[in-house]
Amino acid sequence: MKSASRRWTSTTAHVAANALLFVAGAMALSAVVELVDGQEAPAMFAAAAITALLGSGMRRWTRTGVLDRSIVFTAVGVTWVLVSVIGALPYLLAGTFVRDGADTLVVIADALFESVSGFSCTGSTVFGAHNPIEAQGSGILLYRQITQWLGGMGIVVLVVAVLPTLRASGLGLIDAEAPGEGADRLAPKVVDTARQFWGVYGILTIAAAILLLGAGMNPYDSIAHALSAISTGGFSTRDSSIGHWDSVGVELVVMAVMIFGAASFTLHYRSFRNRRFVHLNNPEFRWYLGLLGGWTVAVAALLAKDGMPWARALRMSAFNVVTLGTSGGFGNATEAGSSGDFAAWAAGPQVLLLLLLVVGGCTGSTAGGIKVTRLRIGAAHAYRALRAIRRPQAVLHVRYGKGVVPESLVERISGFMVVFGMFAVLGTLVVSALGTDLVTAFTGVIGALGNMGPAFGEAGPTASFVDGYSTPARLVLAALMLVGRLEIFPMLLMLIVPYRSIRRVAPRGPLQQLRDRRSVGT
Amino acid sequence: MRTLLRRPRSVDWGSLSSAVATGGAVGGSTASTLGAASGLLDLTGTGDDAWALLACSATAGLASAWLFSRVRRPRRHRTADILTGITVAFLSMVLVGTLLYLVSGVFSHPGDALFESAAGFSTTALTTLDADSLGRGILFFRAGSQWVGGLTALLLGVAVLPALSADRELADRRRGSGRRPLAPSGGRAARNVLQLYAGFTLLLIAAYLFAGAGFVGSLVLAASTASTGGFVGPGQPLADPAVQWVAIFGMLAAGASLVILWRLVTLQWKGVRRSAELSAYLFLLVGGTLLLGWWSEASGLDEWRETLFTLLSAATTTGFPMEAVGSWAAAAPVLLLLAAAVGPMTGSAGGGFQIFRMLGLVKLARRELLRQLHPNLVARIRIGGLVLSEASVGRIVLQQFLFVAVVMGTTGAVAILGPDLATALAAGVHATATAGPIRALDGTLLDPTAWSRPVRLALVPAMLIGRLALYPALVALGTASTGVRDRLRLKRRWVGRNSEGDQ
Repeated sequence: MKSASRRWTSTTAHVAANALLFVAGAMALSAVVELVDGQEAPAMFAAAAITALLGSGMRRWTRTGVLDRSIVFTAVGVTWVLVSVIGALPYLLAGTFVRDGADTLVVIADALFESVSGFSCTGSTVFGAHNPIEAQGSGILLYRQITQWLGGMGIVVLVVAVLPTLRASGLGLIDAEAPGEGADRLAPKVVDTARQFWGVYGILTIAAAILLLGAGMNPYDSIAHALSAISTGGFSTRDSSIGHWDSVGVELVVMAVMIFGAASFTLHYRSFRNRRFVHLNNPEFRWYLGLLGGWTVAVAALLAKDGMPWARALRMSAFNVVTLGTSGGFGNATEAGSSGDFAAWAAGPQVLLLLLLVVGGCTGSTAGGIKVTRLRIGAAHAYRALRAIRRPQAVLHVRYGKGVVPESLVERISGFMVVFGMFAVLGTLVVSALGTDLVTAFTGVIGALGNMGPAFGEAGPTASFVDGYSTPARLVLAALMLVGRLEIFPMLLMLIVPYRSIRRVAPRGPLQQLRDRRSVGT
Repeated sequence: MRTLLRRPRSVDWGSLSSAVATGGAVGGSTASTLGAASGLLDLTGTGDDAWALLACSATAGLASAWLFSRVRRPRRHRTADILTGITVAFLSMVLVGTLLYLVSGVFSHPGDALFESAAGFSTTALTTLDADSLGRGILFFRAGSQWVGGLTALLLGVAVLPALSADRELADRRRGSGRRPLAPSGGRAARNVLQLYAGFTLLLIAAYLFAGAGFVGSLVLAASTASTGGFVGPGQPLADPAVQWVAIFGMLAAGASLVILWRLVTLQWKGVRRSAELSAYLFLLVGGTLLLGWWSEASGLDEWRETLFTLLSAATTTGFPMEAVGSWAAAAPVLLLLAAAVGPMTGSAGGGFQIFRMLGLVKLARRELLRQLHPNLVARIRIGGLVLSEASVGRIVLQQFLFVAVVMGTTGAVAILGPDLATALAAGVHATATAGPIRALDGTLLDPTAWSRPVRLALVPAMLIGRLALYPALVALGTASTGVRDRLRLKRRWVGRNSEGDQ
C-alpha cells in the first residue's frame, strides 16, 4: 500500500477512480454473459481490464482532500465525463457501431453517444434498422442496461457508499448529483445514507425483475428491463422496445416500475422502514399522479377523436404518457406508424406529450426533467408576482403543501428554470444549425436535457438517432444529456471553477492592465 | 395618473366599474375616430366603403361618448383596476374594428372580421385580406389600427406601467443636470410619447414618399413600420430596393426603445452610449444577419439587403413579408423564430419577450450560478449600470412563465385544430410575440387563409395578450374572475337568506 503522504491529494481523481472500478465491474459481468451467445467477450474483457487498470492506478496514486463546494462540482462533473468516455470502450473494442460507410470518427461518436445516453439514463440510441439491437450479443446489451442502472441512482452516490474517507462532506457530492433540490439525509452517517439509497434501489430492481418475469418476459429480458425501467432509462434488448411483447401485462408492469423509479426514493425508504405506503401523504407525489392521470385522459380523448378505438387509445396514451412523463423513454410501438408510434400521431396529442418532456419525475428520483416540485413552486412564484401587482402592499409567500417555501429556494428554482430554458433555446439553434429541422431539433434538445429518450419528428420512438441527427448534432445532444443529468449547474461550474482559478493566479493581460491604469487615472 | 380621469360629480362609481367603463368608452371612441377618418379618406377614392364606415363610426362614437359622460370616477383607481381598464379599452377597440369590417362588407363572418381586427390592433402581421382588392378607407383603417396598437404598447410600456410602480426601470425618469426625462410623470410621458411617435411616423411618410411608394402606400407603410405592425399596401411596394432601405432604417428605429430615441432627439449622447440594451440589440441584429446570410448562402449586395430586411422584420416583430432568399438551411427559419420570440428593445412598439428582460434573465442565471459556489452571496442584478429591484426581477420571471405558457397554450390549441406540430409551434410564437408572417420549415411563407377559421381564432387571445405586455391582460382576467366569484358568492348568500326568510 502506498503511504498516504506520497499520494496526490485530489478528491476529483479519487472519486472518479472509484467510479471507474464500478464500471469495470459492470463490463466484466457483461463479458461473462457475452460468453453465452456472443462473440465479443474478449473485447469486453479487454475493456474491463483497461478500465480497472486505469481506475485502480488513479485510486492508488490519489487520496481525498478538503471538499469545498467548487471541488464538489468539479468532482461530480469530471467523474461523469470520465465514466461516460471510458464507458464507451466496450462498444469501440467490440466494433458495435462499425458499419459500411461510417468512418472511425463517426464510430467513436456513436459509441460515446450510446455510453452517455446509457449513464445519463436518457435512452436515446444510435441502434436502428442499419444496425439492429437484436443482432448484438447478450453481453453488450446487458452492459447497456447496467450503464443505465448505475447512472439511475448515481454513480457518485455509489462511490460515497463505499468511500468512508469522505465522511460528512460526501453529502455535498450526493447533493450535487441527486436530481432535485438536494438529497434527504436518511441516516446520521452519509455513508449509511448512500447505502440505504442503493439498498432500496436494489430491492425495487429485484421486485421489478420478478414482476416482469411473471408478466411473460424471459429471465434475461426481465432482468435487463428491470435495470432500465427502475432507472427510468429506457434502453431495451429489443428493436421495438416494449412493443416487442405487445402485451398489456408487460406494459402495466413497466409503467408501474417507471412510476416508482420517478418517485422520490426517500419516500420508498420511509415506506419500507414504516411498512406503510406513505407516498400519498407527499404533495409532490399526489400532484405527479394527478398529472399523469389527467394527461392520459386528455391524450386518449384526442386519439379517440382522431379515430382510434377508445380502449386502444387509453392503452397507447397511458403507456406513452407514463414513459415520457417519467423520463423512461420506452416505446410500445410494434412498428413504425403503428398505433403506439407517437411520432405518427396528430399534432394535438403530440403537443401534450411535448409538454410532458420538460416535467420529468419527482425530486430525489431517478428521473430527469425539471421536476414536479420545481414546476409547482415556479408556478406559485409566478402567481405570487401576479398577485403582487393586484395587492402591492401585501406580504405574499410562496406556499407548497402545508409549508412556506423559503425565498432562497424560490430564487434557486427560478434560476434553474431560466438556465434550463436558455440551454433549450441555444441547444435548438445549435442542433438545427447542424442540419436538423425545428421539431426534431427542439424535441431532441428538450429530450436530451430532460434525459427523456425519444424525440419527435425524424427521431421518434421507432427511429434511430442516426436517422434524425448528424454526427456533430448527436455529440451536442450527448453533451446536453450530461448537462441535464447533473441538472446543469455542476457541469457549468466544472468548466468555470478552473477558469476562475487560472484567472486568480495568472498575470493580468495587457488589456486588463490598460483598464486598471485608466481606472486609476479617473 | 390615478387622479387623471377624475370628474367632480356626486356619487362616485367603484374603482373597477369606473375603470372598465372608462376603458370601454376610450377604446370605442378611439376606434370610431379612426373609422371616421378612414371613411373620409375613402371619399377621396372610390368611396364604396365610406358611408358604412362613417355611419358605424358615428354610432360607436356616440355610444362611447354617452358611456364616458355617465361614469362618475372615484378619487383613486386601484392599480389592478387601471390595468383592467386598459385591457377593456383594447378589447373594445378590437370589437369596434370587427364591427366596422362587418358593416363595410369586407367580411361576412364575424370570426374573420375579429381575426383581422385583432391582428391589426395587436400589430401582428397576419391577414386574410388581399391589399390589392381593398379601397383606400379600409386600407387606411387596417394601417391605422396597427398604428393605434403600437401607440397603446408604447403608452403602456413607457408611461402607464412605470407610473404604476411596475417596470420603473423601463422609463427615463431621472432628473438633474439639465436633462429632459421622457417620463417625469404619467401625463408628461403620454404627451412626449405621442409627440415622438407621431413625429417618427411623419418622418417615415416623407421617406417612403421620397422613395417612391406613392401616397396611400407611404401612409400604410409608415403606420405599419412605426408600429411594427407589418401590413402592406397594394402593389408590393417592398419589392423596390429604395423602399426596402427606408423600411430597414424604419424598423431599426421602431425596434429601439423610445427612451433611446428620446435621448437622441434631446441630444443626450451619454445615455445612448451607456445603454447595455441598445448594445445587445445591435449585437443581436448584426449577429443574426450574418448567421442568416450564412445559412441562406447570401451573396451580393441585393441578397444581403434582403437578408437584413428579413432578419429585421422578424427581430423587430414587424413582419413585413419577404420570401426566402436562396436556399435556406434548416437553421434559418429557427433563427427567425427565435428572433421573433426575443423581439426588439423594451419600451419600443415591438412585441416578443424583449431584450431588456432577456438580459435580466441572463444576469439572473449568472447570479444563481455563482450562488451554487457561494450560497450566501448577496448580489444585485445590474444592467448597464441600472440596478434592478427584486420586484422587477420577479416580474421578469413572471413574464418568462407567462410567455412560455401562452406560447404553449396557443400551440396546443392550434395543433388540436389541425395544422402540424411545426406550424402550430411557429404560430404560437408569432401570435404571442405579435410578429408575423409564419414560415414553414423550409422558409416559405404560410398563408393564414389556408387555415380553418377556428385555427385563426385560436391565435386571437395570444395576439391580444402579447400586445398588452402579457401580465396586464392576465391581471384583468384575474380581476374579472374575482369579480364573478364575488358576485356568485353574494348571490348565493342572498338566495340563502331569502330561502331562510321564506321558511
